[in-house]
Amino acid sequence: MIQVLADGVVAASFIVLGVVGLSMIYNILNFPSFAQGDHIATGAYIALGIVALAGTAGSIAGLSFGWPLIGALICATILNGLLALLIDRSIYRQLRLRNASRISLIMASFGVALMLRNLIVLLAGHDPQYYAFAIQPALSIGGARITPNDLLAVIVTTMMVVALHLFLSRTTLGKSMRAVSENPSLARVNGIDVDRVIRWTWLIGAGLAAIAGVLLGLSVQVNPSMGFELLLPMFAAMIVGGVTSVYGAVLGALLIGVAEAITVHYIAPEYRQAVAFLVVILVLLARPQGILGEKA
Amino acid sequence: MDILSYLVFFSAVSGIYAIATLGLNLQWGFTGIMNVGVVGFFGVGAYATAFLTGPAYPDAFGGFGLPPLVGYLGAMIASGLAALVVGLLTIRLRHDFLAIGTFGAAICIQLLAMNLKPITRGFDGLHSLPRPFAGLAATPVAANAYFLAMVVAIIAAVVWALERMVRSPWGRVLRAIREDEEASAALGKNAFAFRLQTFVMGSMLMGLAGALYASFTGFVSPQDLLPILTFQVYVMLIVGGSGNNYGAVLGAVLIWALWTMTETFLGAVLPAGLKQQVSALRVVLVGLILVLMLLYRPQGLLPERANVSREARLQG
Amino acid sequence: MSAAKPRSDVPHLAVTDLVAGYVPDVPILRGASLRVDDGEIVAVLGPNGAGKSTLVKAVAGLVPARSGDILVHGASILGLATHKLVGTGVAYVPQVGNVFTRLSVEENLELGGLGGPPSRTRQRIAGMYALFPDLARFRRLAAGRLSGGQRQMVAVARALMAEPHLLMLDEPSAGLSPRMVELVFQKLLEIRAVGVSILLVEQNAKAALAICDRGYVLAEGRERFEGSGRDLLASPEIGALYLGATTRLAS
Ligand SMILES: Nc1ncnc2c1ncn2[C@@H]1O[C@H](COP(=O)(O)OP(=O)(O)O)[C@@H](O)[C@H]1O
Ligand SMILES: [Mg+2]
Repeated sequence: MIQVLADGVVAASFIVLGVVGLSMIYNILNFPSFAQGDHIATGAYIALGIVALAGTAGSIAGLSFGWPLIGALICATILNGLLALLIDRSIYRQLRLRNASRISLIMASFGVALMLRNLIVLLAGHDPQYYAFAIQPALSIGGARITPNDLLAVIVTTMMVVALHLFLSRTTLGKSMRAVSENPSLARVNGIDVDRVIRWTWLIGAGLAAIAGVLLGLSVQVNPSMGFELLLPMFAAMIVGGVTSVYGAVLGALLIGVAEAITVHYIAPEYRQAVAFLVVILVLLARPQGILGEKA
Repeated sequence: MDILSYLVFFSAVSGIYAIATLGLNLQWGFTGIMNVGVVGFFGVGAYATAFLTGPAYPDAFGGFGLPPLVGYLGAMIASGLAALVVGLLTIRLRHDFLAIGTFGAAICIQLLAMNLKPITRGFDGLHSLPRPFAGLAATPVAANAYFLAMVVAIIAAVVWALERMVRSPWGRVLRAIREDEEASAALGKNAFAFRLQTFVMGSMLMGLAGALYASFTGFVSPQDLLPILTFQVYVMLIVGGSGNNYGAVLGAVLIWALWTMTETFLGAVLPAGLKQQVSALRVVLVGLILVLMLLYRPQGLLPERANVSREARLQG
Repeated sequence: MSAAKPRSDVPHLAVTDLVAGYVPDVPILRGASLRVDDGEIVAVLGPNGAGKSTLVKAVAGLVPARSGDILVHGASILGLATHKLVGTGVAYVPQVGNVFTRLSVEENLELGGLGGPPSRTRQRIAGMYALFPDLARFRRLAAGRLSGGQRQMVAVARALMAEPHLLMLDEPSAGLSPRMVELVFQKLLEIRAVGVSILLVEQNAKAALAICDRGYVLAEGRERFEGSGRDLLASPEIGALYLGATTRLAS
């Protein structure tokens, strides 16, 4: 039971880091991005490229990797954000300038998703890859066994959520983001530069996606569809959490992660992805606004 | 001779895509239902046909050896039922949630194909399906030609029926629903019924396409149920012109031509052993075409006819 | 962040022959003109759908202008990005959706004072709490949970945070109780007293004309009458023709 919970929290970490960007983009740019999963993968591969150049010699405190990976993680976070920014500039922004419908944006994100995934295949191939192979003995915490890498994923995710909370509640930029996501035209009237807020949304959303990608790569493996497979759980988390709230999405991710772990342990591991779908459908039928959502 | 058989093969497959694209046109082009689970209904049709017409498999239930025509009908019924279930669950939702919901449904259908081994045989797939017209034709090429003729006849019948339908009062209601989600909400139960009808009918066409595909290739496996197919069909519709049935057919042929030609061309230009890269590059290319179309010609090559949409606006 | 105080012989805001609309070829404003001078309260009245909201939205850059001109302190602001309007010393309180309901009262105010130094922002917030003592009690509450009148106060305070020279208000009295309307309009007089000019769009003609210096009656996208508050109030034909409120005005 404790083990299931632990596995669920680990699974949730990756969803949490991915869904923050999904939710921010949804609220600020007004469309669900089908490419968010693949931004996770690009982040993982950027870090992989850096590791391939710099190596990841050694191992820190029981983890499977050495310091160069930390450097790669930071670089990947930034580069992945810039990549998303570039995509926004060349595609989504052009569509916004043409007053394209939300459906066009969704379709475009579908196209971006496939382009990113296949660019990865083009450059790095289909085969799974790994950052490092150093042996890491599992730790036992309160009756649950967890590898140091997974524990790190949970810790980093927790830190990121706290940082995100401080960012959204304490900084001018964070408050501006909340303002734009609620009422863009009033935000403009207030003197908020909405384009700037959009740029930061991509930087943060794709940056956190890169962290998700690296942590997931450390926990499992790096492969081109690693992010795409997280897309449905992320959508589920966002919808369960009520769509309008990043915090709701984070809670939703926890719920989905634990539901997945329960399915894997007690029901049928091969239907893990279906859980997210079922939860979403149940929630939407029972409460079209989601759990934490407000009435429109 | 070689060229001819290739052309027949190519036309038949693009015709199959055209049928799926016509189904999507009914849902998205005419009613504004963003079904991101095209491949799911395609897959249900493909598996239903295999189930009904395939040979008896020692390790799986099904394989009744029924004639292809029964397989096609069964496929349409099965995908229609699947669409009814998915539609009842999702058709009420807002556009973006509907997209997510149908996307999830297709993933679940693929999971079933992979894991419901007693029926689907998992990754091994269902093989040795009877080729239609194999008994009637002297050569495989002739069989393919007969098959192509059948596909063309189906397309003609579907286009004819759809054109009549969208011009009828029923079709005008559909466009009213598409033009204004809010206003059509006032239609209440009615709009729900209309949307559900088109969703089921469009999905049945996708199921028919899947059935034709399975029986044409003689094989179906979870590998045929990848989300990329949904993407291809959307690109076909957007390039051809959503809201225009002829555009849907044109788009299917053009994009399928591009798809196969890039493979042939890139395969010839790039060194062997880069097969993986070739198919990846091809997806990137089609993605690029989609984005360029959305940016520079969102109405597609054959736009929806103006008189039709003006009518719709008056109705709305 | 606010612009330098301009010469007082140039109007704060001058709109001339403005043609503007939401979609091409469907002008809502068809050559509207008006002017707000230093220290004035100017009312814009007119029947529902006359284009009053469109007029202030056009000034705010939210509706594109096809022709005509909009001058702030004598300089044209046509084509200015909406988020740069506050920098010209013009603040705007929209008719609907004028507070961030999910943000706290204090966060609303902070965003109003964006760009200024933090110490100045804190000072301004204290000033707003002095002007609207109610708000201080609700500072941590999400603005969406306030009553209509309190929200209107937040909206006005938020706009004042930018230290504007001109405040544009779109129907601040809509949906408020008569007592609340009186209170809001009382505040407007206080605001004017500290040197802020006000452009007041109103349905509630009686209340608006009672506090304004001048007023315009807008109909079919154009100003039809201009006059002092007292003149407009006294003119029965205007009341009958354009305000649809003769009896109310007379009573
Ligand atoms: N967002 C909009 N899009 C299109 N037309 C609009 C929009 N807002 C208002 N209108 C139209 O513009 C006209 C004037 O509206 P408005 O300026 O809001 O009038 P008022 O504020 O005087 O009541 C009305 O006919 C209205 O239907
Ligand atoms: Mg108005």
